[in-house]
Amino acid sequence: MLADYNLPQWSGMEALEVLLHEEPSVPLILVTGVLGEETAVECIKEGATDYVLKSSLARLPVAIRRALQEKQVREQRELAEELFRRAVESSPSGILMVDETGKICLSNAVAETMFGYKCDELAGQSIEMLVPDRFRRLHREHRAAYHNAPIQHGLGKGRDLFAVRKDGGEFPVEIGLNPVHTSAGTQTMIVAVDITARKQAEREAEEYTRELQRSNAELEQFAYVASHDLQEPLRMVASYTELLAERYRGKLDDKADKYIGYAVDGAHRMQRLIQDLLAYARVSSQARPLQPTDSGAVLASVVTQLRQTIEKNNAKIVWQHLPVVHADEMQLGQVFQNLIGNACKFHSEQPPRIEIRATPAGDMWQLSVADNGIGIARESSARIFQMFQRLHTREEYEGTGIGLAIAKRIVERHGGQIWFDSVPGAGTTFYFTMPKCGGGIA
Amino acid sequence: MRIQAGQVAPARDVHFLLVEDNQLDVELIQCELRRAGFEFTSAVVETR
Repeated sequence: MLADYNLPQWSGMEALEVLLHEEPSVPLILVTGVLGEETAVECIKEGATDYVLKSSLARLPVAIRRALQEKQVREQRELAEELFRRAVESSPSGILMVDETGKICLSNAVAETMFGYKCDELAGQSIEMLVPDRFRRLHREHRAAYHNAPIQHGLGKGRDLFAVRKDGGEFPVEIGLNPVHTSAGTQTMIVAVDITARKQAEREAEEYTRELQRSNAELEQFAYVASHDLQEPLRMVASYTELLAERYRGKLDDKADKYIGYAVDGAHRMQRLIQDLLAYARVSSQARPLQPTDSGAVLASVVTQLRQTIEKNNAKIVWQHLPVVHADEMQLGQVFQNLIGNACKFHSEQPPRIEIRATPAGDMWQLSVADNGIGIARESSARIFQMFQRLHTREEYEGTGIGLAIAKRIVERHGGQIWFDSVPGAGTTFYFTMPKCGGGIA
Repeated sequence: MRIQAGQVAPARDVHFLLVEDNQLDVELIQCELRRAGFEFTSAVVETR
């Protein structure tokens, strides 16, 4: 607005009054014939942006441009302040602004709810009022140290802290600090998150994990001791029933021979089950540290050990370059042995052809053992890795059904996974992952 | 309170409101603004 200072029935100052009431953001420049210095100062004090004498109208455009520029700067500042205010208010975290002396100068609604104070109860108070008594001295020291070297301090990067509510209740908080440089000095913006629920969940998860570990350890110990201690009496049962079968075959009646045969067979099966159970328990109890292991060399050794089985089944085993993995050599060999042994065992009418490959998969190597065997029905896939689960009768295929359970346990001990793809009648490919160790292809 | 005399002058996105009772001064001010590069149309509103 451009207004003359002296008008017939009113003055530029009255125009200013109207303007300030109706549109306070519009700048007003007084354009007047004469204006003493005292009046000019008074006008500026009352809110006029500037004044230009009619004898110096050439200065008017300059005054207008400056007024517009100032208005723009003011509006930008107001917008920034509004954005800041809204951001602080709408933050899901508690926000407090603290000056160089530790006095609270700003708080948002979440902080007020979190600490149980109203805004005016927090303003001007020391931030230490929100810190439990026993930590206050230390907090003051930390605050002074932070003030000397203020740096951004992200949420979750510090130690566990506790805060205290107005009612004296303590709760765990996560704190983020951010220095804010203002014309009134460096202030610190504190972002506070009440982590009571998270801490509770963490405690429960830790407790659950501890309980699970304890239970697993107990179970493993039980399985190991039980199966180990069962071996001796069972060996005795097996030996004496075998002796009975040898000495008395044909001397008793047919039924007795049959019953003794059942007993011998049952004792042998139980021995195998116990040995398998022990092998399963040993995946943990006799585990060795993981170290760089040439999987190609391990496979070659397994193939040598399985030579009889391979020759008996006329199997062909092929592989090319296999990587160095981070593994327990014995256990990796066990996985290969179980998978290749199965591939030989469950062959189709064709001689078994087994191919072992490796491909990189992130931090792991994905190894595969593919065969051209009888395949696995889709409905069996859920139980194939379970202990003592057999998909066929003992008469069809020997074995207790522990091999894949052991392979799974070993792979999981290495942080890997095991799974398979199969086309019944055409073949199966088992995949498992082992951690890389930067050795590359051997 | 009512404004006794005035002039509305849009200049791109800037609007001027000139409160002036002297027609000669109105013209002088308009002339000075145009010379400084402000382009605007004007309308006079007389108030009582």
